[in-house]
Amino acid sequence: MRSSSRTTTPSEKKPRLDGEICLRPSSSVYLGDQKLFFTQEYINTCSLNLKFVVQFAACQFSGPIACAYSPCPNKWRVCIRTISGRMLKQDMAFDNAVFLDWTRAHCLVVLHKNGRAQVLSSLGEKISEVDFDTKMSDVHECRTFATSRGDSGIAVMDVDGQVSVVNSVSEPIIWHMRPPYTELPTAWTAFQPHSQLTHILLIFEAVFLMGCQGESLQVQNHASVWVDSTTRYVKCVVDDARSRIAMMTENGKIQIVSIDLSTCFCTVEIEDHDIGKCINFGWVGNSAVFVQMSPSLIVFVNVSARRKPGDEVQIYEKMTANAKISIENDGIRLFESTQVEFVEAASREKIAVLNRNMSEDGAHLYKAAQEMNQGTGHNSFAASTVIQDMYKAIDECISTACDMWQPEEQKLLLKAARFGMAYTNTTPDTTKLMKAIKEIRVLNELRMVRNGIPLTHRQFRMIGDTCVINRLIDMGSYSAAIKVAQWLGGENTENVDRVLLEWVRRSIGKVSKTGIKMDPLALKALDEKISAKLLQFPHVSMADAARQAIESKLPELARLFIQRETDDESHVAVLLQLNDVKSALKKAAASQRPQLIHQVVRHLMNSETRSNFELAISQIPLAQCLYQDLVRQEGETRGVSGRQMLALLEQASDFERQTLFHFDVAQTERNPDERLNALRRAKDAAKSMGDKAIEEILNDVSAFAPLQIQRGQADMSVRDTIIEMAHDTAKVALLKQQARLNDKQVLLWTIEGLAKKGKMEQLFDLAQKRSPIGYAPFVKACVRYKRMDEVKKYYAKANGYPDLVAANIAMKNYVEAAKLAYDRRDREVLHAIHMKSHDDPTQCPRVKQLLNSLDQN
Amino acid sequence: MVSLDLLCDYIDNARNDTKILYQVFFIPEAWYVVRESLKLRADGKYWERLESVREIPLCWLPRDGECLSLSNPQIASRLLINGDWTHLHKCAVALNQLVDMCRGRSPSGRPMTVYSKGKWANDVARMMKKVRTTTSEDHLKDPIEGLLKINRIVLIDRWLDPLTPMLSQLTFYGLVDEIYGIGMVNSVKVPEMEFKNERDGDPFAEKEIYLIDEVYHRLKHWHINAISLEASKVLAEIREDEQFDREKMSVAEYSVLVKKMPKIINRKKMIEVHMRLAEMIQAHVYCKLSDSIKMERELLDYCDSDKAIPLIEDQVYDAAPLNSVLRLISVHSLASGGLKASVLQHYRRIVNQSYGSSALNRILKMQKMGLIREKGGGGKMQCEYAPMLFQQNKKTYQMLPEVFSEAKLGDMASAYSGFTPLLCKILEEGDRVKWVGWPKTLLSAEEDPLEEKDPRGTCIFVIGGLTRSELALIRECLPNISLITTSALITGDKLLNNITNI
Repeated sequence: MRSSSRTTTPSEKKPRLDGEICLRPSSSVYLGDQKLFFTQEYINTCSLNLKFVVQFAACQFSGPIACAYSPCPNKWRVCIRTISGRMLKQDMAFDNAVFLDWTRAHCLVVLHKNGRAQVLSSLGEKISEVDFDTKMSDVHECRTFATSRGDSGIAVMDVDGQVSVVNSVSEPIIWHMRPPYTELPTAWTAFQPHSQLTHILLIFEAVFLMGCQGESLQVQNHASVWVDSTTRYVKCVVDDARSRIAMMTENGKIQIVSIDLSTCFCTVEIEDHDIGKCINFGWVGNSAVFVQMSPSLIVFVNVSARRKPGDEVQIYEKMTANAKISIENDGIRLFESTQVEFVEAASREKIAVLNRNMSEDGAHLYKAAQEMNQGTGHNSFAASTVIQDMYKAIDECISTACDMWQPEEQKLLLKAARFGMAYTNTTPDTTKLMKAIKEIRVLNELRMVRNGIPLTHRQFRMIGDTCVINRLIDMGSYSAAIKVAQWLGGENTENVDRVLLEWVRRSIGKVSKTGIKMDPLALKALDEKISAKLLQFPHVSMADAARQAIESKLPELARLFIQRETDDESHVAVLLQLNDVKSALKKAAASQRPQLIHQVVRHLMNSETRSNFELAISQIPLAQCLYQDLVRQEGETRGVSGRQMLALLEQASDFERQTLFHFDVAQTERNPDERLNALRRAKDAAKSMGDKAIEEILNDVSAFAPLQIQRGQADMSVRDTIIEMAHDTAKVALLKQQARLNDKQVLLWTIEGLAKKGKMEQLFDLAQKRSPIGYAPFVKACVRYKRMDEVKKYYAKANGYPDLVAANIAMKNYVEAAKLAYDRRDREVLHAIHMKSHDDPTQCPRVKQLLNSLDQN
Repeated sequence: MVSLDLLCDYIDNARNDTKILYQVFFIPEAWYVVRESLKLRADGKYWERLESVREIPLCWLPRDGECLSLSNPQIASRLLINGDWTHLHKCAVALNQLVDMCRGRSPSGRPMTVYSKGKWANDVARMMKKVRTTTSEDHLKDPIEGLLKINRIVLIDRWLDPLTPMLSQLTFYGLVDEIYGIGMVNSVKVPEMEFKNERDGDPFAEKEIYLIDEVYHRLKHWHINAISLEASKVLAEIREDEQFDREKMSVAEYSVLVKKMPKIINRKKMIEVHMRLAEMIQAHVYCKLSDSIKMERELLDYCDSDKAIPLIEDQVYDAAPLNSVLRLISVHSLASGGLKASVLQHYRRIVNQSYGSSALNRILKMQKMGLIREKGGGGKMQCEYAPMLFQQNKKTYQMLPEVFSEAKLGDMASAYSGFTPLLCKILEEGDRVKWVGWPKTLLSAEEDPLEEKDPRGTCIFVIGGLTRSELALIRECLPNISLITTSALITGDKLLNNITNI
């Protein structure tokens, strides 16, 4: 690799405790068919003081690291940092802690001597506790293992050799396994093969015992085909894919065997180093292992399955300074005194493209693009003609770009991919390229010192978008989380929302945990801060923030939030949650949305006594009328008379409506006595209203009604009563007085009543006196009740123009009536007669003639 | 609530397995209260049986191809007697639905301008804006912008002019509604005997006539006296269609004729039906209503609030149909700007005597609604809505023109024979000045640039109901109004019959 001048960061001038990102080119080394890339990720990470670290644990997938220092025996001080060295949590004190490790779910597990494990978040907040065995005397050793669910399990071995296991730290269910021997195993491990139960492997020198959850340990006899029974096995490590185990013997042999111990893929014997005394042993990618001999020496060994027995042993030695190792799925990370270095087992594409011997398409394309860039186009053309499969070359370049650490290299490779697209015959499919660019952008951001998550692309692909965002949230890096969520999500804002909500929750939670009464100013400031942020994201509602505040028991803060909420519905809902019914009611009323008011009214009805809530409602007219409507509807269905409705009206002193209400009751009531009572109440209400006139009428009515009831004529109007009793002159006179009728009414109705009853003599007697209303009513009544023979008598009596006309019309003598009107030149009356004459087609034309001739004159 | 009872009854009575769950749809709204009371009813027994409760937001019912209606004739009474403003909110929701249909809901769509006149209209406009800003954005995919070219919505209160519905309508369409009542599916039921002009027959048999054919649409807006003009034109057309010379026709012409034949026959049949209907209505108007109509005219021309009108008295004594009497009293009161206390008292007394206390109840409610007012009333049974001031408006708007023609569709005074409905006049004036000076509500942040330029494409919404005669006038006289919507198509009788209980 060509070396370029060192890129400096601005922070170099004033040295900080944090590390710096290092963009020096990676170096590489071949290890048989493997190639290892060494990338310095951060330098100047001096503050770690690795020399004094007694326990070191790094979270897989470039998560945070935890270092334990032991200032005095049996006491640990643990701090959590990002890989770049940024402090997340300082100096947590633990007594009698013996073991420290991270789960895949981003939690730190601290195991104590007595078998109690504490689970902490990446910010050092306590999440839960797992008690492995109350009787456990002393912890001997401990292993964490990955599970299919993305979480980690822990297996703890006590000094008696009993193994206690939980399959998931977040849902700890403890089970035990006890070996048949009294001594402790020389090597052991716990693992969960794909879609199988958790297995425990114990190795006693060269005897292999394995058992899965719920079964007892069995001697694995089928392993004897490869087991070297002359030596002791001292290490066994499961690979990241959980399909192979790397074994190490005391005499320096490394064996790679299948997870069920049935086959041995590869055996390597190392003679240069006494690896049996190593301090750490593990996988580097898929086909290499590392053996850490001391804090200053690491040996990398190729254990590829393609190796034949007898091949030359491929090893590479690397000197380090106080190195601590964390194992990733695609390599290992070395934490040294002043730097963090990543050792990557390179992917096939990366090896191909960056190969200086140029045997692959990707490498040719990369070369061609570089030549093009430098202006040597002919070389570029030469390089590009060699390429056989352009699509493959493009893919290789893209994938290598993703795997690069230095932005410059990433750019070159992406450019190469773009350059290659020009050579393809079809329209290039850029989705892959776009996705790669998007992801590289995210990765570069995450690698910054401020975030300190030097994820490789392969790691990123493993854990996915959501998990990365979750980790950022866990670490409290909200701004980075939002940025990443926006970059990755595009239009989809789901992740952004989640981050915001989490941020609000945490900010509020922080305040509420302090437990002290916040002064209004500080609350105001917090409200300003949160709402200012939320307002940048218009789709996130302030009501959610308010709900969080309520959950954290900060009603004042919730109130501040909710004032900013524009959506009435959530506003009211939150106010109800706050139990501030008054404001809720006011708000609902202001929104003029019946549904909302109903909601509040319901809430009131369920939570308050009737008198209380009716008082509350009565202050808001909009709600009042809704409530009335509710009462009315319920009254209608339940058949309960609207007593409640009345009560409401009385409360409001609405006498007009009270009057009408009583009238309505009277109208629907079938029982005459009740009806009378209702009318009396209406009268009272009218009196309270101060309307003398209505009161007067109702007075008459209530005076008249009792007698009506006595007579059994309660359903009749005064008019009907008179008509019914027309023949009884005395009664009519009495009724007239009672009901305060005028003469005309009495006379008209008497005539009608007599005609109806057929009391023709009495009617005739009545006609003997001069009728003040003329005789047309007599005629009309006779016609109506079909007393045709009697009509003539009264018709003869009719005199005077209006009376005659009316009598004629009543008899349907339209022509006769028309003639009278014509003689008087009374156009108006004649017109009216003409209208009426349409009734009789025979007379109509004649009347029309008369009308026309009058018009002509 | 009634529908809830029906639902529960149905669930009780349906002979189904008790495990069967129901999907319930409420039209147009599943009221919050309804849901809650469903949950509570019989300890949630019914609620358990329901798989889902949803709503189908169907608000608008088309009326006769002329008008969209909410079919809520109770609205005026609900507002004035019960003080129940939720009905205004329902209007606002329905109108917003209409806006969504025209414009879609996306913020980038064309903004809509709303003009309003009257207290209720202003409230509804405000609610529309509120509802719009608060509802979440559904994705209504296909606005029917192309079909409904609406540039603005004009809201107006019926109660600016409560007088017109009290008067007798005189267009064919209006009269059909007044006399027989037009049903939900645009049909009238008339006694079969009367229709066939027979003396004997089943007196209860009814004939249902659907008012949906082309002939009817041509006739409906005409004044009843002028209907023969249009009808004769239709007849002439039919005759023309029928005149053909069989001898000289080619085969092609024949085939055209054969295709046309059913249409011709149908038209002939329909014109017969409608002519008969018109005849019946004419007879009814001339014989029974002529006195009232004359009375109305006199009251409008001049009236004295100090005296009871003898003819009204006579009708009351004679126990004529209550509604028509009450309408006359109302016209008297509205035209004279309120009745003198003694006159009102007299009317109330005689009505009570002739019809009983329920009629008195109705009068009081009409007072509360402002259909009958007491002159300088002492605050008893006062209507909260401002009075109409007929005497002033009569002059400013020339509501009683000297010259008018019943036979001209474009004449504003034709539908009521010499009286121009105030509502139509106000709308005409608004249209003429391009709604300048009307309270204006913008449903979105910016103005609609097209709205200013194009006077056409106005949609009106009458809160409180519209009569069919007014509908005819607006259709024929105001071509800029392209869509007429209302809370209900009413007649005076419908308005009075829909007065609600407290």
